[in-house]
Amino acid sequence: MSPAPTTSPRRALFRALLFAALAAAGVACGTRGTLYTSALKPLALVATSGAVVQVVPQTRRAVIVTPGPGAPRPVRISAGARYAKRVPGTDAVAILTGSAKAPALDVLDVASGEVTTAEVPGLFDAIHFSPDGRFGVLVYLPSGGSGTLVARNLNEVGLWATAGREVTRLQLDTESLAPRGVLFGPVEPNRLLVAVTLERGVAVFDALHPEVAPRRISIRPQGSTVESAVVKAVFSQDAHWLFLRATGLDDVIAIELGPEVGRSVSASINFVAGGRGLSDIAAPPAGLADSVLAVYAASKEAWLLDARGIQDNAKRLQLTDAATRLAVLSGNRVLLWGEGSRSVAAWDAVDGRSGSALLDGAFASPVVVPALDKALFAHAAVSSAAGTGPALSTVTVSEETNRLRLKLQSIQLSKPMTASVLDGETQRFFFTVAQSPAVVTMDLRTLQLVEVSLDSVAQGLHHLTQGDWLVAEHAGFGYGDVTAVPAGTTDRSGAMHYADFAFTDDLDRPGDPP
Amino acid sequence: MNPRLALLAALVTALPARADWPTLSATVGYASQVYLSRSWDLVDDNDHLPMGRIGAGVTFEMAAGLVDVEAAYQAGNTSQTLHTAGPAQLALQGFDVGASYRWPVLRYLHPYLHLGLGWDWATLTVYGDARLLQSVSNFAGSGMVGVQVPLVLNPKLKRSAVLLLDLGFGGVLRPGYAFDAMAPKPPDKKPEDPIAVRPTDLGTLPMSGLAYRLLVTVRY
Repeated sequence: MSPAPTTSPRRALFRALLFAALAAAGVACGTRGTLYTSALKPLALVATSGAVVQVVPQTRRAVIVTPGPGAPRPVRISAGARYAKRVPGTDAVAILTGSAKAPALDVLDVASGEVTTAEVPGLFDAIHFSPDGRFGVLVYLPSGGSGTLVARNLNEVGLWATAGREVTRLQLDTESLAPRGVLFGPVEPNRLLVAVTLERGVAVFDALHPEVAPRRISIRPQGSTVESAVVKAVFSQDAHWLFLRATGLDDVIAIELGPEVGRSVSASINFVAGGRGLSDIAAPPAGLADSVLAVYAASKEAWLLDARGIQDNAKRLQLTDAATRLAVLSGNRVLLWGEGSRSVAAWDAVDGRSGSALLDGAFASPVVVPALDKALFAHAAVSSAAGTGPALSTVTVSEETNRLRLKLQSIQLSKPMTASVLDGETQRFFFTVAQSPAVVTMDLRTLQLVEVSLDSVAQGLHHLTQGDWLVAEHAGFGYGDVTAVPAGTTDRSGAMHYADFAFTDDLDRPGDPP
Repeated sequence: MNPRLALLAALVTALPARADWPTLSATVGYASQVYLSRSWDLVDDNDHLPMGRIGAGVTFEMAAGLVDVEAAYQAGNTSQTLHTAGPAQLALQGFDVGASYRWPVLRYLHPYLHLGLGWDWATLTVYGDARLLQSVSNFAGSGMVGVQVPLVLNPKLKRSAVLLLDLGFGGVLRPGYAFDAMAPKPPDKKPEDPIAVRPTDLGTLPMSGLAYRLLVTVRY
């Protein structure tokens, strides 16, 4: 019997080296994971009082840009972010996250960078906040189509008291498919009414008593074939009335609400007639109870209607040109204008004085500053004896003995205005024009203009009250490109450019999918 | 005759005459590093950084075995499409000084153990240098085992040039490279009142990994 063959040390060493070389070659043939293969699609920038926040769903990060010496700060958030909005009056940003199996709501405290996560009873698409930021109503959007769900009950909403983490599910149970809007009523001692407008009516519930079933009010009587749909709702200042404008109806729908607390609120529906071609409604100035403002395009009228239908209490203004929108200024004054037209009118809804002005060009929708009795109308082009081209008209309403005067002041622009924002105290108006890197500050009282040129064109503007910063959002790749500049300055030396900050933390992705 | 040229000619003609002249070598080849971190997927799809390497060394005979002391320069880069929108590229270059203990177990098989220290520069570019760019540098340590296969070019000579095939495998240790100040490349002509650019912090890229190399060396 022959002895078993033995391997020499040299041959063993050679085999070990060959194995090492093969192992190295094998390791070098790794594959790429999915962390960097999907497109970054950041959500729209959200401005708080002192920072702008960009949510990047693909990296599961919210990037906080605070003007100052440091780099943008990344904060880790839950997966599946699809909507972000500032909670009014706070420095928090609410972010809808999660999946169909586990929807969630992340609340980012911008100052501390802390994130708290709450469970949500549905994969909602959007949030409507009360003006004071105490409550948020989470709704589905028919166009949302979130996730992979094939069926959604759009009549569900979530009520979130922002001081806590609980989101309460409410079933509206209406005949309509989906909410069209959410309107918070005035703050009352024991209740806060919320109206959810829907195609066929409105649902009203008390945010302080979410356990009480909503009151459902249909504007289509049983068996009716009328196809009208609610397009706007307005609460009266005492929450006694809820006014609706619906398509195809010239009457304002006035819903008288009961004072019930802790029970389903009672509702009595009336139809109040005025002119023809109802195009907008608004709550009247303070002190005018049981009434609603309405403007009619077809009959060229504005009305202060009595909600109870008492014709003797109604007031009417005959306009020379059709108006389609209205806004309440200070005192009892109301501004009326027609979108796409050139005419503007003002009306004192109590004493009946009025005035009008014809602007040099057509406009879309103005920026109204009620505190200053002023409105700003951007024109893509004007044609006057003085010249042609884009312009910005300011209209200031002032009182004269027998009428209201509309003082018209025009500012020439090199290109049409593209973006604008008011400062927090509505004393300054910031805007940019097309194809120009300049940002203009206009003092609303004196109309003094201050211009600073940035490095690239801005497509959006945000004003940060904390530190008085103006943040210009640049067009381009869409990965976060902003310049922060001290508001109202011509000096570029204080400006800071933040480039592509959506990539922040992209290399540090622990816990993310491979 | 130019005195400098005369001196150079004298040195060259004197070289073969010195039998005790230390053995010198020149190396060129391929040196790849393999990174298993997921972050490496930012710039590559198969985890490795291919590099070219050139070096020069000297060999000392020891009581048992040989010691090759080498200085080398290596450089390489890799790039990959980032978030479907554009390329992200990492370029690395550095100097490496090291020593190999070589054991000629066979005439045509010399296993060795190599240890080295170096200094590297890495530049990460996202979507071109007009978008985001940063260069960082740091030290590196490397260890490797391998084998050299020598081929004597003219066996009849007492001292002949030797062509070596060098195959090594090991690892490289580096601190993570912090790309925390990514910013666009400053313009060549600076404006009079430039707007300050605030950096973007991409995070840290781990730079320790495996290494292997395939070199061709001429030793004389």
